[in-house]
Formats: sequence, C-alpha cells, structure tokens
Amino acid sequence: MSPEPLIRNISDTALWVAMYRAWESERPDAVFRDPYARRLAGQRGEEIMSTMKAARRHAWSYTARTYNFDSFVKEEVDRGADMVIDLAAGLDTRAYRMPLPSSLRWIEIDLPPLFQYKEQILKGERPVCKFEQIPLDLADASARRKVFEQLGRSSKRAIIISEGLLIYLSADEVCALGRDLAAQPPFQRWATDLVSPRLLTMLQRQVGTPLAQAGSPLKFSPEKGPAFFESCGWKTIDVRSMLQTAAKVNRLSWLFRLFARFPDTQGTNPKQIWGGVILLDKLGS
Amino acid sequence: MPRTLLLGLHADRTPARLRMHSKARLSDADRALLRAWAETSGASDVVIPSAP
Repeated sequence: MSPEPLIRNISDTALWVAMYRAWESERPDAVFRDPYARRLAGQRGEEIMSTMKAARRHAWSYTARTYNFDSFVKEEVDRGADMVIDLAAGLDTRAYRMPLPSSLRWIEIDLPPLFQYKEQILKGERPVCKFEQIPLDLADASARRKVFEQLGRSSKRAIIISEGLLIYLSADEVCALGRDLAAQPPFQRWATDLVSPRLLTMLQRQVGTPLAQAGSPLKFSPEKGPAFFESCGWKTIDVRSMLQTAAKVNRLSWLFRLFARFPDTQGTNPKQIWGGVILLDKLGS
Repeated sequence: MPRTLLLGLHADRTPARLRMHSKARLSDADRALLRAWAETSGASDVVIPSAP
C-alpha cells in the first residue's frame, strides 16, 4: 500500500496556511494575532510545512496576504458593509480574532468536513459578530446561486472575500463565479488574491506537484491581469502588492527590501501584478 | 548576500534588466522569485543562473 500523500485534498491546504498564521502570531512584533492558528494547523499542518521547504521560504507572502485581506475587510466594514461573505473560508478565524462590530454578519462558505474539523477545534470559542456557516461546494453553480440570492436578500452592502481560492479554478470558472456574485445588488465589493503568470509558473514548479496529485492543480493567472475581471462584472479599484506590503511590515530580507523599492504594480489599475490582493468594485455601481 | 547584481530601470522605475552572477549567495527559491518578479514587472533582459 502506498503511503498517504502529503496533501490529501484541497482542505489540507488550509492546515498549511494556518501554520503560516501561527508563525506570524507567535512573533513579538506580529502584525496580526491568530490565537487559534496553531491549534487549527495541528500536527498535519506542521508536517506539511516541514516537508515543503520552498513553502517555508515564502512565509512573508502569506503574512502580507493575511494583512492585506484584514485591511480590506476593516476598511469595507468601516464604509458600511453589513455582511462579509467568506468564500472557501477554510480555517479562517477573522470572525473570532478581528475587532468587528457585533452587528456584522460573517458568512463562511466551505465544504462540510472542513467545518466539522473547525468546530471541533474552536469548540467553546465565540465569534465577535453574527456568525454563520453554510456548507456548500462552490463548484455547484446552481446551489451557490440559491445561496447568493438568499444572502443578497438580507444585506444592504456586502463584501466578498476569496482568499487562496481562485488560483485553483480555471478562468471560465472564475468568471462564472464572478457573474453569479455580481448578480446580487448588495454584493458591492470583492477582495481576492491574484498572481502573475510568471509567478504561477514558479509556484507550479515549487509546490504544484503535491497539490496537483491531490486533485487541486494551480491554474488561475490571467494574462490580462486585474482587467480580466471586467468581463465578469467587476473592476479593480485597489491593488496591494505582497512584496510591498511585506516590506512595509518588515518581513523581507534586505535584498527583497531593495526590490520592493521598485514598483511591481503601477498604481491602482496595473496591467499586471506580480502577486497581491486586489479589491474589486461591481461594474456600474 | 549577492556578490554581483545588476539592476537596470526604466524611466518609471520598473525593472528593465536584472543580471545576477552565478556565485551570488542566494537560494534557488529566491532566484526563482526574483526571476518571476523581474519578468512580471516588464524586464526583458533577465539573467539569473541557478545556484552552483
């Protein structure tokens, strides 16, 4: 019998990402603190991280990614969002760890086994806002449209977040998801991470094999860059580079700090970005 | 720490060329990252050999 693969399925990537959050949280100068991350990552998260050496070297990019998503969520809630829809939420703990208004509705959508695992680990912990989990396979377009319609009826202004999700989808799947989101009038903003085709190639070489073996190959990186989303009902209004964010929060070696002094994005509407988190606004809103 | 590094910039400060000596003290993972950064940023002349 062959040994169990390092990454068994897409849900195991959540354990791996939780390890990055644990490392950051345990630093004395942490830029965010996730007190649940190490528990959520568990032994398997540690094993994945210890085996994927290249992944370990890129911890700064995950710190920057989490920091950028946190910032977009905070800013949109301050602007009046009454709902956050967390697509493929994984082991995200923002509803527990961020200073959010108690009236905010935080909706997590993900596969049922992931929620079961999370519930077991976070048993006894309390979210800071109104919290709901919707077990759903987002690949089921008909089921997701029904869920989006229900959520759309009970919000005035929602922000969608998809952290570490789109890279596993094809361009057509991303656009179909984007159109389904755009169809709901209250869904005004969407924050997502994006990598350039060059960066995708590098990631495929370094960490792509175990992911592909688990049935989750890395795929999405549009040649058009952020402009890709314009054909799916969204336009980019803000871009935050991982490299420049990591430099700002002092997580880079001196050499990468040097490179961060030069733009890898040009303004808020660049033709291409190296790696970053973008904020989309619905076209026509 | 790299021993030899050449970075040329366009007028808008985006990279035009990035050349690194093969003996630069940089891991292959970091070399790959820099290559992806330079090529995404528009550099047309990127020479970053693998670590010896």
